[in-house]
Amino acid sequence: MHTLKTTNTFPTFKYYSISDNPLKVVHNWDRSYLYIGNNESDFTAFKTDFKSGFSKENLEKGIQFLNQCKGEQKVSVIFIDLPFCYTSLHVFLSEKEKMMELANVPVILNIRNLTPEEISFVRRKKMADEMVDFKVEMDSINERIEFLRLISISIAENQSNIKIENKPSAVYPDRFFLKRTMDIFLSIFLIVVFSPLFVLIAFAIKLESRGPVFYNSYRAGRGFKIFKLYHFRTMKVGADRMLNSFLKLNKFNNFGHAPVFLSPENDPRITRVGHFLSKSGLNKLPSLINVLNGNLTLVGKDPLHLYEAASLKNNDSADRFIMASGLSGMWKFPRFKSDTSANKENSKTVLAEGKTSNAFTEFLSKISTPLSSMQSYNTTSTKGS
Amino acid sequence: MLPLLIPKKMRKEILVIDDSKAIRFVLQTILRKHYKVTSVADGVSAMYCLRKNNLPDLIIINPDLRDFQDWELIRYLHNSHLYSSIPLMVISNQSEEQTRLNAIKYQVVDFFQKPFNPLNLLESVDNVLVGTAVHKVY
Repeated sequence: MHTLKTTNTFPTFKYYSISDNPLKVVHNWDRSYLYIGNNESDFTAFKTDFKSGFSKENLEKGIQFLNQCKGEQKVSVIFIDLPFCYTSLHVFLSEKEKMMELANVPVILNIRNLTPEEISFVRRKKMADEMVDFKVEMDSINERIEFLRLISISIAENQSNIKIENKPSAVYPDRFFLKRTMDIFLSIFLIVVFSPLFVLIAFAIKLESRGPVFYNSYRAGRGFKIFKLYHFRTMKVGADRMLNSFLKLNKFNNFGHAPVFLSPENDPRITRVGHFLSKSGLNKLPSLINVLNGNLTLVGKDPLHLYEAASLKNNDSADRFIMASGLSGMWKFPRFKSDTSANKENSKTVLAEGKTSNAFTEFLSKISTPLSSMQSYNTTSTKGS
Repeated sequence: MLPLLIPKKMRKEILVIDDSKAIRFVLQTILRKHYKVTSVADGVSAMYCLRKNNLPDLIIINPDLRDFQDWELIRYLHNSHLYSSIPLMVISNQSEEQTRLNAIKYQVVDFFQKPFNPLNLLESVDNVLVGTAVHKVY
């Protein structure tokens, strides 16, 4: 005996779906149908699946019949096999809507009687739950009826769970405004504290090599918005062009793969001041301005380059764009010793979806557990990859 | 040259059905400039949308949903006369062979695999819904 599964919040419809090889199944349900039309002889094929059936000649008699059996659910399907008439069908459907017992009963029209314009009309105005060719497509009709009934039942049950979004909704995660205010205050404080350093570094860069003080790169932040990330300039002007000339000299062809991470040990493009800045991490200092702007937060994963952000690898790594990426992800622990294997930046750690492994971010995450708990979207840094 | 912006009442409608918030967010942000996008988390709310509101001009769907698994909702939409006229696009997690076979079987307009380039999706959406160079975004 079949029982409706109405306890699950997400019922699986797999059993009841329209299968590719529909078998003729005989069910022991006490189902009955109501047939409205003149050609009941076409129905003999599946009459055996229903316990009982009623047939009426036109829609008014159908309404009378349905009104008679108020209080009992006598009918589980309604088939209509008449030429299309808008007014009578509209009246029939409005009468049917008033009766609560027939809420889950699907109304099925015969598509043989309808012209193409009428078919599109029915589609637009939603005058039927299904349109079927009564001569040809009756093999899978049982499964379709059950499918429609379960859908209407589950819609009625889960009415509160149905959420329709018309705008991008995941823009404000939990406790966003708290985090933002803290970011503003802390960043203003830190900028004021570090302002003499700013001036000194700017002086040093200007003195050593010609060119601008800031080097800006475009990263993808919260909501995939592209923003300018400010750095102090550590290399000579035209570093990208010099890199391209190196790549052209390369013997091996890259076959159009992702850009190569070329960072030689004693890079000729780095200035002396720039060397000190990158080792100590001070070239990332102007990103406090980005925190003020709202592009970054203080504690979070590092902002990705555009070519990394363009490939959404899976759901988890795509979720990082719901929350703003953070300063702490970029900040490496100051290292003045030579590059040991633990500190070495290789392509794995750089590309590893922003999980930069260093002691500083872990320290930050430990002392700022209220801050880090605000980021409820998998943005805590982890050791290793 | 800037692409033209269509007035809101004349825009075509897209329905996005996907489990993951990130994909819904991405598609909303990309597509809402030129189209009217409604996004929905599971199959039941998708059926509710289809029944209550106007029919969309395109449906972008993830075949593996929580309540309709393994291309079931796509099978239903393809087999029912009410909804078979709506073009479908698929973004799937499965292997490319499986998605291709199923996509040809259910006559899906275009299919993408994760990871996908959103610009490719935008281009194919433009091709399906408008088809002229005026509304393409470069």
